Amino acid sequence: MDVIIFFMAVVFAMGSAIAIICVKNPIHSALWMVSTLFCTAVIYLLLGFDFLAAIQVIVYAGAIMMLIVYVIMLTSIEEEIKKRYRLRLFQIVGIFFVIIFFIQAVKYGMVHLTGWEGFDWKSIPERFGSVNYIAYKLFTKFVLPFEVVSILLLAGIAGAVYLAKKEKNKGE
Amino acid sequence: MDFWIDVIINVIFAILSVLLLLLVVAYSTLLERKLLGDFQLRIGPNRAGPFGIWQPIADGLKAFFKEDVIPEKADKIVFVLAPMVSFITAVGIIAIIPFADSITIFGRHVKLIVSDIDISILYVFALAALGSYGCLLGGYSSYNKYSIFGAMRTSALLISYEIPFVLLIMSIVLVNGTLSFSGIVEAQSHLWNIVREPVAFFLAIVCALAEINRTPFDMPETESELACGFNVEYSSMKFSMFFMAEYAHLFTISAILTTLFLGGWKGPLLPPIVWFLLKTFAFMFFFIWERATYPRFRIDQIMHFGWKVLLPLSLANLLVTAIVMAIIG
Repeated sequence: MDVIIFFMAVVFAMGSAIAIICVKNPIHSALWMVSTLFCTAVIYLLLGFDFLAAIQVIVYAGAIMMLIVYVIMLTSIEEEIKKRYRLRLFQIVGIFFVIIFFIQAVKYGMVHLTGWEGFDWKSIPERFGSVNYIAYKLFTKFVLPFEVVSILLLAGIAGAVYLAKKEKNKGE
Repeated sequence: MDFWIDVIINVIFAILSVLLLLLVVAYSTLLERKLLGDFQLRIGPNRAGPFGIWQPIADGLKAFFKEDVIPEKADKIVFVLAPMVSFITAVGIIAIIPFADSITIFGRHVKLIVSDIDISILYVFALAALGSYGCLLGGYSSYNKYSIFGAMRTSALLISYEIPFVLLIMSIVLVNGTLSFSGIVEAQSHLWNIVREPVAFFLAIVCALAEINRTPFDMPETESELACGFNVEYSSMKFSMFFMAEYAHLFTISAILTTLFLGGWKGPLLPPIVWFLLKTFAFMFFFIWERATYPRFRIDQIMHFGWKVLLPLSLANLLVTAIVMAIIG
């Protein structure tokens, strides 16, 4: 059962990823992107990372892609459709093989150079992807990176507020 | 063999709960029209059957036989897809709502919840995030200036009120120490969350009103400004799907508020499922009642209220909750 769902998710993810670069309309591209992200979330779910899957849908599909769709809606889509460069089928097939070659090379490198070969998969604790486990690790072992990331995000918010603020001296 | 029996029971229960949802959706339209009639000293629908009880069926048949118009310049695939996205994401939330305690059928314990997952709250927000695509795409694909305005207002509204809503629910998570709905119901055995988190309760009702697009936040509709918002070009069953999604949201958000604040199915004397439905319908009555009471905000007032009042208040609530929890452990 898991295997069937896994292959369905993979096929849909790959299909929609190819569709992102093949369709004419930028909104359709964005929607195929949402579909890809959703299928990736399904794969996370099968791996037992339920927290990561939910966050993937909320943050990527919900927030980031929503913003992208929003921005595309504000541009003139019709001109974009006329001008847009589309990949042809044989180009896609070519790219596909290049990517497969690349993946195989990376896989070879990872397995033979980093010592993953002898990795004991049973040493992964149970409930590895659960909320409790992630939270525990985040606030004990990885607390410094966590704080650094939150300061970075805070700086981002402050910058966004500054940019969006009305300039009072101008134009009054 | 045992595994497959459990699967079959679960599938049957899933189908039953979706049917219950559809029934509630159909009859909450009648309930709303009857109650609005009472509030405005009118009679309301009373022609189809006694007290108008066949009205939802008549409405459904009427919508089914109407001509299905797709505008010529519309983005046709997206136009067809948008109501489905809205409807499916609205119905999907029913899967994680605990209706009642586990019951015993043919000697095996059956939980009255379709899927008892650890991350119920995140699931709700993930579906809500996908559901807001329904409005946005419906508005975009219609090729109509009113619907695009409606869509952009709706998605801006949904995004800005989701943030305080998440923060308020996080304070509930802090108090109860779990993200799963059945865990939250268990944690409220002695004391309901409405007593522990009264501020969060009232603010969450405001956010819930915005999330399901009801007055005073009914930005997608705004008949007086935008004709009908994002669904102005929709007709026939596609319009009905948006309409049903809206009422499905009304039921599911009431059920979620019941689970989070009013102790879910817990209560004395009466059977759990009755308690659950009573509390849920109390919320639904409240949502219909306030629709008849309040006028609509303007879009800029809504944005100011969301970002400058609700967000600081919910952050303060989370902070106070965290400090109190740290002190009393």
